[in-house]
Amino acid sequence: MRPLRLGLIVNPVAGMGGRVGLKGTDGLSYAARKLGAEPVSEARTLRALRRLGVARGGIAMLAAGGAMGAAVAAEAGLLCQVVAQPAGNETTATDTANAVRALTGAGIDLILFAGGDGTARDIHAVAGERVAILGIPTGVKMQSAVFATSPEAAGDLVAAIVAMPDRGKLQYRSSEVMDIDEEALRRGAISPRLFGYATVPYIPLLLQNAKVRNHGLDEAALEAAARHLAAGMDMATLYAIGPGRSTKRILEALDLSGSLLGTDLVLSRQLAARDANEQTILDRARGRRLRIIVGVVGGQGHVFGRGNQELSPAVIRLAGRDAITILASEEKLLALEDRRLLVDTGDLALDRELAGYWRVMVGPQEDMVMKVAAP
Amino acid sequence: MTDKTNHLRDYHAPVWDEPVVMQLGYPGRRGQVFPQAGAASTLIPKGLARTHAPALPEMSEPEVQRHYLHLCQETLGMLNISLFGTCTMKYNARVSEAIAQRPFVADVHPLQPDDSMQGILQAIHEFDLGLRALSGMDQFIFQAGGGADAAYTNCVVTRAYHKSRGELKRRNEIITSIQAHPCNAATAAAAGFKVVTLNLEENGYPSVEALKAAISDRTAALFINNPDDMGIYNPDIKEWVGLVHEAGGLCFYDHANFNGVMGKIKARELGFDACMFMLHKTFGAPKGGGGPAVGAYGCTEALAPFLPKPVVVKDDKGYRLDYGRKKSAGKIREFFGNVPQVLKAYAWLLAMGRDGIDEASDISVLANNYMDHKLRKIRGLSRSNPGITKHRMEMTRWSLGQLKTDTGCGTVEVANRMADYGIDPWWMSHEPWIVAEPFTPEAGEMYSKEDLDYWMAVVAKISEEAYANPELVKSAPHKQAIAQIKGDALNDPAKWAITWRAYLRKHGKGGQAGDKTHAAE
Repeated sequence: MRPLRLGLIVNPVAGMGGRVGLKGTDGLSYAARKLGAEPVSEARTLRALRRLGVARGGIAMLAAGGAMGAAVAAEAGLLCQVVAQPAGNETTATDTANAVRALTGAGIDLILFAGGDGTARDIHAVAGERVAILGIPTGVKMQSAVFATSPEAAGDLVAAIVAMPDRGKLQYRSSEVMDIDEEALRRGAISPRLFGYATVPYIPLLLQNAKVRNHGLDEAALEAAARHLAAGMDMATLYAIGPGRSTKRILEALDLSGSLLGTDLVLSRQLAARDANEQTILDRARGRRLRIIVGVVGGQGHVFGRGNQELSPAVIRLAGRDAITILASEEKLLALEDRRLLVDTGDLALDRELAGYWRVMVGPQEDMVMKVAAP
Repeated sequence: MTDKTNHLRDYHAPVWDEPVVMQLGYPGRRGQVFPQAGAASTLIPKGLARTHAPALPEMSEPEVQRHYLHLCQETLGMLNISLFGTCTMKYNARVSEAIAQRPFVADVHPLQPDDSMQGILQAIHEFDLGLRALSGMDQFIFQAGGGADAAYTNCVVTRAYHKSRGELKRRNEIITSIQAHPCNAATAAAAGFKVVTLNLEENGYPSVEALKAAISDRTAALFINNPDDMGIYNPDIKEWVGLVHEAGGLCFYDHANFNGVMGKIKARELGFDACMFMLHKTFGAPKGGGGPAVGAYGCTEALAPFLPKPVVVKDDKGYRLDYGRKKSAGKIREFFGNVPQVLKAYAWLLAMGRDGIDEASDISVLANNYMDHKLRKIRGLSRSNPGITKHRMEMTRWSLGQLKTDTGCGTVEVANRMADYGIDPWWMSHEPWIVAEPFTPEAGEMYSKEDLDYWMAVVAKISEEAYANPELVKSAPHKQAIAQIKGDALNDPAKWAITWRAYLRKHGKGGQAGDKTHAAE
């Protein structure tokens, strides 16, 4: 079989800010070094590459030069073709972007990168959804759903892809690229944002052996759930449909073109507002019943407060708990740490009211009861 | 003695590398040559007569015998040490097999008059009484062809019950848990109910609060195992049943994991309205290879009118099949069940007796806790919910997550390697895998301490191998009749084939044989 063309990008300074309390290393690698921070990215990347084992024979590796990939590949005993060189000693976001361009230009199946949310954002900004990416978690903040759970898990996933008898059967999922504005975080304000969706290969949690059910059922269940919700819409109710792939299936079912990263309003099965802000939602909801339909952020489990701040405490209170539908795939829910959902609306009293057990819709005729925890 | 039992046998399966039977044989070769019956062909209507001979392999009888002998040598069989996992494995005594093959069982036809099969009906009725004694229920039936079929039986009984009360339209939800047997959710969905799934929490079972969030006036029923696949007994179960009853729902106890509690608790005493036993596992009738199964379904007097018919009943004239049940939910499966299996289970129950049942459950729990004690010493293994100090019941969900992280070898790889030591690989734990890389050994009462020690010695050896040489484990089996297979065809309609004809069509091999087979269509 054709070797897997694997692109490697290492952000050598990712993770350095963590132990020295810098809440991230974006634009601060020099400061971090001065505080005595040690690079962690390379060692963690090596852990991932060492897991490739015999799969190494089935990989054609392309990498960014020096500390951005080639060095650690060599240490892992992998031959690689260097396609881009960082401009200077302290690597920057521009170096990352250049490397992505060079790799996609050379033609690759998958970009394996080491870093955190900042790195994921930089890569996603160039790669978009066209090229599959997978993150080795080496950063300070890793809110994005593009990371494997550990460096070893990243290596295992690549090895599993190489071992697949038919790579055409590999599944991908649209995964959130999230980041917190580090400047704001250092000032004490948390404002996480959803930057988009990356294409990430995965071997589903539910499908790790051959005897189990057919592929793609989770996605099909979600699509059917969205059609079910669309078909059951009440004409007099204003629907606020939160950001994300899961919820946007409802708009697709209605043949409406909404915004992926924003909240869209639907009234009488028509688009009432696209990418609405808090005020628009409150204005349009005046004198009407309001129902909120939201998804779940993969990996961490946020329902409110991550990437959907327009669904503000005032909006949530206006709708009321009983008029909130959470829609997510079973796979996504079961992969969450501790299998619990989170709310962080910015209003602690509201968070506490929202805490407790919720029925999350996972299929047209299937709910899963999930615990929602307040901060 | 210990050394002897823990000495891993040097095993190698026979490798025959033989084509499948459809590819064997030579034109004209025959097993038996019968005299031609000249007039016979005139008796067959024209429309029914074949135009082409069937595409059968042409072989002599000893060649056929030899081929099938080779095939059976290439299986592990089910008589090895088989702590299957999430499945109770028991030995079916040969004497029970002999009883089931006697003419008074084997030659009975379900349509013969009741008074000509009083013995069979009596045996079924008396076995029913035995299960009533173990569960507190008022009536059992044996139509269901397995555990999932019995869960489905409960769905149709639930439907008929709520319909009779005029509430079926509203009561369309069935509550179950993520680690109840998957057939509970599956049969509920197949029967048209909405499924509400509860998650496990810190204690290893869902909380009462989670249940409360799921219950409403739409609740039709609760379907639950206790213990579930984690092996942890839910001590709140009486409260659960009370809450569901208060809301107007029914409660069904899936007794797939009965071994740990048999003789100790009765479903009825916990408040349940119905329950299910698997005769092909818990009650000693054979299991495996998709063999004949029976799900014994029992319920209270209040639900009995809704049971599928016929029901075996006893009145002053003797035993009879009662078809005259007006409220019956209808039919689940033909006639009154897989009678030979019921007979084997009845024989097992009589042989065990009340004390034997009680002791068997003690041994199951003891054996599992013995294994818990020894398995935890093996590197890379950990128990699910490690913080729980309470003893597990008849099985424990284990995780190979650590082994997978450390070595890349998880539950599939270890299972493949187990076959190299001449024991049955463990069965994959029920989906979904909320515990990473799970396995769930279930010792039951049948395996000896030596068997358990041998089995654990194999697991320990494979752990050592995984740390020393992970590729050896990942590429296993090495000593089997066949090396690792890619299982992807099982999930691919374009590739799977359960007949030779389908194989040729989808894989396009076989040339002339293909044409021949096609002609026979």
